[in-house]
Amino acid sequence: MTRFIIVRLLQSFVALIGISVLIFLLVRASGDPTMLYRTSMSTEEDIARIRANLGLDKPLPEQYWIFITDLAQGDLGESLLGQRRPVTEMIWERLDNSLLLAVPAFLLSMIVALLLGVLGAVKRDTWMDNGVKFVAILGQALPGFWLAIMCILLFSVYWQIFPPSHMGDFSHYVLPVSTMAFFLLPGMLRLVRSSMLDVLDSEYIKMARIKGLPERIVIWKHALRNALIAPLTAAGMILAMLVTGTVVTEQVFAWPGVGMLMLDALFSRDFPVVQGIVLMVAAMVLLVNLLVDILYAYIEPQIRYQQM
Amino acid sequence: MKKYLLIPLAIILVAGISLAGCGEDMPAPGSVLRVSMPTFAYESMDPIDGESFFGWSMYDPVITWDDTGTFVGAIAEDWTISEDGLTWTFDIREGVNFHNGDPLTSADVMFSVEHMQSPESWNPWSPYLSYNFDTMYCSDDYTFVYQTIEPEIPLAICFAATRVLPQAYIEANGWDYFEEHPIGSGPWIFESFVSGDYIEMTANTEHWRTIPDFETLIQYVVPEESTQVAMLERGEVDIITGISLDRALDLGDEGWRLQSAGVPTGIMLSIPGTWMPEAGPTYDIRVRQALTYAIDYEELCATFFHGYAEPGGRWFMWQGSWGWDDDWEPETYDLAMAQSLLADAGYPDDFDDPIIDIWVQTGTAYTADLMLILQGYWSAAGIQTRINIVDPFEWAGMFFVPHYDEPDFPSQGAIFPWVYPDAWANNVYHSFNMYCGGVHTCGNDPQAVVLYEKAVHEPDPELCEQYWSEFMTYVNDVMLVNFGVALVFDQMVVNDDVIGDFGWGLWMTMADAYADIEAR
Repeated sequence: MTRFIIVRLLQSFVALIGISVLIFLLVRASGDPTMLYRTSMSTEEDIARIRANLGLDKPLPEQYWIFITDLAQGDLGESLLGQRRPVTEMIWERLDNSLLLAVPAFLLSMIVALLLGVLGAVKRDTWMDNGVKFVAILGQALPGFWLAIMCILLFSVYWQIFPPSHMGDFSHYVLPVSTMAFFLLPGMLRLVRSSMLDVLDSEYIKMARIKGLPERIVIWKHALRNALIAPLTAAGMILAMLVTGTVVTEQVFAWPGVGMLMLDALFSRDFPVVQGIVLMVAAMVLLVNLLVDILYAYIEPQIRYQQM
Repeated sequence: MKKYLLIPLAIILVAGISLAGCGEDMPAPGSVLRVSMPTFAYESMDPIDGESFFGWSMYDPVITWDDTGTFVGAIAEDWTISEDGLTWTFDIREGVNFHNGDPLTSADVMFSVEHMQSPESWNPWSPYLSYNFDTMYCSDDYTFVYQTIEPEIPLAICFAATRVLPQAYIEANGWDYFEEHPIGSGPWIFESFVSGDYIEMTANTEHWRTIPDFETLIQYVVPEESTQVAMLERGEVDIITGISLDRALDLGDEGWRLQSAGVPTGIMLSIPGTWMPEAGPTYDIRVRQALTYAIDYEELCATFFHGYAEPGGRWFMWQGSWGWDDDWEPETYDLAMAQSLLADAGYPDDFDDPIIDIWVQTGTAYTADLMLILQGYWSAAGIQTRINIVDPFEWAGMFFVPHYDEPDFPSQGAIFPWVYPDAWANNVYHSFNMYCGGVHTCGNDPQAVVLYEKAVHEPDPELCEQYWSEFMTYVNDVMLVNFGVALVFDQMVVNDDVIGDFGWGLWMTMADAYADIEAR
């Protein structure tokens, strides 16, 4: 088991290095950031000075070496804009806000997906199941951006129930959290429903029913527990990616999180911030993958023997 | 089943209650002026970080200009320039205090100018101070002297862009502390700031120029236009800015008050590389003249801009700008003249090869739609064009990087539309790059350089302005590599708590003018 974990850790480290090279090259290929500083007043000397200040006058390998050695010390560099703050500080400052949105949205979507998914599977091919499928299709079909604006229009402007923007008390969370949760819901809902359908058709469930166990015990104890493996794996990945998946929600609800920071940085070619956020998300995804792999290996010994 | 439904519902309820204490609620209306804007752009309290607009609310400039475009005193109550044009002597206003109570003296002004012209500065005006700098000193507590190597009257704009910072406070606490707890002498006092969210300030009731009507000013970042409108309709903000003209007009129809957003946005067209035969049709000035005559400016302003624009938009100038000549007229519409010029240039019928390229950058208000309309006007005159929409970086690479030695570069002879918010009161330094061999590859005329140098380095202020007018006349009549289409008066939407005209004239930005906005 120890060897398995070490191998997995090494693989994750190599993947992270690969991602760092890729993102380092991609952000630079997307354009020269000094272009944004060029105005009708800029002279070539000004631009050369800016390039030197940003360290862009050095060869790419040297720039990467500086980037990776700083990264090893937890330093993601400085933003190119404004007061040139450390990227790590900027991300941490916004991460709290994103998590305040992402975690409740995630929990809400998981709970609703679980309830509706089970309901759809148990009441298969009834009007209730059709209703669940309709919700899933609706959630997949409606663009998050449009849904968020419609929520603002209805709940903030017409009915004046919830505020449309910014962080604040509980009421400020309702619309962005619900919008995000609705965005996450369909995938998870379909996964829970299909997993439950598979499990409900299995022999041991038939056996449990033959034994005369109450239906609620059969569904919630025996079936659901076994049906949860696939949804829980997907849930881990969704949570890791949610941090930047909040871009649309944060933008519409003026929520100062990582998603909004990412979007601003992308538009302004503030590439230290972009590469910092991408690396952070990549690290989170790798970490979740690693934990899931370890968990699988722990539960199912065959996996660790096959992969060693 | 019902019993099991209760568990997750209880979890949601608990989660909801636990979130209830997170963050602060939005402030109630009243003596608070609340403004929303799509972005803070440069988030910095230090004026050398680009054009940090927070600064215009918190700090005072050394000098400034009035709504006729004339430079007037600010922290420097008055100033004189020696006869040889090399020595600027600023009389610093007495009795001005920083927000912490420290008196503002000439030492603070010198400290701020030194900071502004330091190599670390990203402020676009900084290089013009440093290039021509000789020495500076304080002859007493309220007199600051700045000496240049050559006379340069237009340096006034750099002093107008220099905001006065508290030397003793910064030296005692350091720049990092200052960034988090900035103080100045301006009409608004810093209270709090959350990156990407809001900045809050309170009124400086002892300001030398104007005491704000509102006790508190809060500026919110709200990127989405619909959210801004929702906030206005719910009474959560008093002014929304940066929204499209069409949306503002819709709100105007619903009864909201529209307010012009300060100086107009200039829309102009530039054509690089016109002295090269490889530039194609625009190599011939008659084709360029035809381009200007073919546009029905009045119709464009009345329809596309719904009357909120007027013909004009001369290169970074507008009526009242420094060096403005009242004899100058906006470009005029004369389709017959356009066709006649084209015929004289050898294009009696429509030309379609080569087509003139138009390079439009994404994400810029108006331009793509506007260019479609202009394309129609030009087509009617017999000029065929092709619109290319490109990423801002690609656009900047074509237009902000010199391509003098590349006659086949695609920018040569093509049309580059500009939408420049806030026409400036002084276009001197911009003009070097446009007309005198600068970054745009538009100007390669030695006579323009001679006229530019003559104007910029003339020590007599009146002659300097006169020479500048002559330069502008020359570049417009003889070179014609840039011409204005319209001056657009962008509209913000305000609620009933805000009254009167904002009336900041040529003050640099809206942030500078919040102090003048009246409360009901």
